[in-house]
Amino acid sequence: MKKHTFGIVIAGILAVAPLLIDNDYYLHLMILALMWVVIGSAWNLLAGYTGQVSFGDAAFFGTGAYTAGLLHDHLGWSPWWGLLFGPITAIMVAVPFGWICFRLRGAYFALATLALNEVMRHTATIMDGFTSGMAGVMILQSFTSKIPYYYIALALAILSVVCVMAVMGHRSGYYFLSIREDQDAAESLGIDTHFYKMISLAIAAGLTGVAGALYMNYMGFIDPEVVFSLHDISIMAILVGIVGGVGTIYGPAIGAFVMVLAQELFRTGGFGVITSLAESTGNASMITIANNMTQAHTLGFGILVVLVIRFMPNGIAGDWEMLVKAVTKKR
Amino acid sequence: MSFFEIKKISKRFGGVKAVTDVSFTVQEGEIFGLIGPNGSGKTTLFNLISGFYKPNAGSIHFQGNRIDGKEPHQINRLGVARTFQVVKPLKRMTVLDNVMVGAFATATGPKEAKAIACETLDFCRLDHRRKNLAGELTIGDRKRLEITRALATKPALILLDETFAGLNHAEQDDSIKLIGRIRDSGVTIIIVEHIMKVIMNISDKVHAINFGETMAEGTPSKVVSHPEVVRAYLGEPYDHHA
Repeated sequence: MKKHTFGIVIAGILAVAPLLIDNDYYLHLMILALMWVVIGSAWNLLAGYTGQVSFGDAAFFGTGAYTAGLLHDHLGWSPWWGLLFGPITAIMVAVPFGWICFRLRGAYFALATLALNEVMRHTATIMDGFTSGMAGVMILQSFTSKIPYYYIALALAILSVVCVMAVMGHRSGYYFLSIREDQDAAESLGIDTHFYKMISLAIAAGLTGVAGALYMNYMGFIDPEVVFSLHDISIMAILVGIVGGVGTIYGPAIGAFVMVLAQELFRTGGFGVITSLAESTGNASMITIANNMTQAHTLGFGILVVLVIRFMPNGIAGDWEMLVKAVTKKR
Repeated sequence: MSFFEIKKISKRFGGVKAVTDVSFTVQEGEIFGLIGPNGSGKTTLFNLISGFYKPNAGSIHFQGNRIDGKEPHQINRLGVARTFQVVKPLKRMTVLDNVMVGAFATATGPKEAKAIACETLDFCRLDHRRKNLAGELTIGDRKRLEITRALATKPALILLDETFAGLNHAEQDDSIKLIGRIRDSGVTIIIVEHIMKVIMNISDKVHAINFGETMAEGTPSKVVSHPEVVRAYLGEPYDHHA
């Protein structure tokens, strides 16, 4: 149990957090971060552990989100059914894709996932009779309070971390790692690498689909540009994984909170600090920064990734001991 | 029906004939040596047997199954394991985990896989490295890890591709002993090797190829005195006392 202490303590803190944080804004950020824990863990299973880097997680996220929304739109079912059917449809997208595209290795596979992302986004836009196209899908949220969403998101986040942990402790986990390290060696040891890559993809797609369904339920509105977004979903999933720590259990969970915080920092202009500084001082350069910061998050993320890869190539979780050493030494 | 048989197998890469009409039979329990100059097609033959290449003509039979055309992982599950000449350690996994990956071939779960892996590591005298990352090993240990991992899949036939290259004399002697132990445990061995001392000492039968074609086959002493083998490969007749 000792090695799970960290996870249990964090889960415990998160479970009581809403009692301490009686603020919808902070709860909103926490819900988003928990959703990113799910997506990041899924991406990490496929890319970090199996070595199949995906640039197209939004394909599965959007499929999950649209499943929830369209079940309600067309059949009148509760969008919460999306939590069950979202992963199923995401897997139905993933399996034929993987069957064809896992013949590609390395960067070529990554490019195929990028294409899948765009194919799904255009499909959702063009089939407007079925998906309402750019008009998007709107539902009425079930709860006005954030608390129920928070606990559902927390449950899904814990589920996904535990799921990845369980998979990695068993046969498939060893096989995933061996495929990452050397596909030919894995094949020579009797591993059906094509099949196991599909298993990894299916689990990742399923988890990402759940996150999408949660997003639909929580936000109440989706359109193709939002849920099939390359930079807001697919790239963000990669950032969560890299910043937190590729190929570590808790890395994506840490990365999720860091990245949601970083995103919010840019979106709000340093939580309003920069903006108020600019207003109070009237400093010209400060005003320029304040005006542009909200749009500069892509630049900021780029710099962040460069710094992480330069100084912590294994991410926050992977280089945790080094990080602790660096901090304590200075004191 | 023989244990293992290759029948008139050929492989071309575009216009290059890598292997032409090679046939041989390996008996159960034998150590079968495969020799020939660089580029003569030895590794291509291994890739054909293990399924990484598909032959253009001919067939490969193992324990009554026709295995040519099958995928590498299927061939491994039928009982043919291989090592790679250019070693392929799973670098960011520990030695134990490397071997466990192989052991899952017959294990029902991680516990059993670990037990098989530890047993195989003991057998190959690599247990003192079990906690090391495979990427940290010396070339000698990496070569040994290749064998250990392949053995963990519990094969009936193992293909060893130049597992002695780069080893010092002490390591070579250890590896000769290991190959003896592998044979004694009931595993049949096909070995590609350039170090003639090894081939002469351990092989029951030797098959020599050049430019993808058979030059000679027979007992080691008969093959090394074959004029064509001497001319094309050895350069001078093999001195048994050297």
